[in-house]
Amino acid sequence: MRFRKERHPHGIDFNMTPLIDIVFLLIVFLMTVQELSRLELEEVDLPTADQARPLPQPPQRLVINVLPDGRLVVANQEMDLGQVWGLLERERDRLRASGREDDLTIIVRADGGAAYKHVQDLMSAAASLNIWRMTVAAQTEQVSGG
Amino acid sequence: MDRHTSRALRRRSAVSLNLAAMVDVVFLLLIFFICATEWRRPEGALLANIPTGTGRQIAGPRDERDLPPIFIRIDGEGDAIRIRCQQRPVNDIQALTQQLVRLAAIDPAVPVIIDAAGTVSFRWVVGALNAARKADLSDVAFTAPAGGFRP
Repeated sequence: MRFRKERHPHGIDFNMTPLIDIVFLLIVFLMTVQELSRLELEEVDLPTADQARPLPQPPQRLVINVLPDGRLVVANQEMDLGQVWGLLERERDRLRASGREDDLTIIVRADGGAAYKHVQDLMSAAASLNIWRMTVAAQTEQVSGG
Repeated sequence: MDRHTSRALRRRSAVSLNLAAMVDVVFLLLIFFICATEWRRPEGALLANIPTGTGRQIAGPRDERDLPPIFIRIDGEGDAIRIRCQQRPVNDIQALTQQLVRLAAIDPAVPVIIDAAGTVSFRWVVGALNAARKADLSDVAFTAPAGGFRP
């Protein structure tokens, strides 16, 4: 009597290692992409606010960083107020074409030490384009010694 | 290849460990944990109303028993500031919060207007905004700078 010793013939043997490899690679890839998409966030010392809610991820958001000396940085690019205004106008017009101009949200990430007038100018520029949605980024935890 | 050699080879390959795959997985795990570590401080956002250059009316017709808008004025330069709430000086943000909580108890829907000088550090404006949020006052607006914006 002959018994078959192997349950699977060698050709369809299932190797888990490459599968785990690929799954992990995908996870790491997605996490890196997410991290890269956060490059729009400059390194600024945000003011503290314990009432701050988690940073929203609205579909049409525009993050404007205000450095301590008042320079404006959008998507890693330094801009003056006129350029930011132009950018806001383009974004608004692009969204207006699809009827979603009200979705545009500005997230102002201003350094706590920056003079308020820089943020005020930014708000005026947005208001002149009828953009009303604005959120102010703040850190939710008190920095030690701060 | 005779029969004995081939059997010996097969046995050796059966117990040998595939190091390359293990190193692969270990490195992937390492990278995974590096990516997963949160380097930044937790960040949140406060909603605010943008002022208009033309003086948008922030409150509709309100009952005359209700309070007039709470006016917070922040003067000074940098971190040397003076806070006034309803024309009265307030020592610090904490005192401002307490005063706003008291006012909110009278009328929870009262609008708050933050009027800060351009020279004041932004953290004090956010402090005032945070104080209003803490007092559950959701209608917070900023005053527009004189002149508005011209591209």
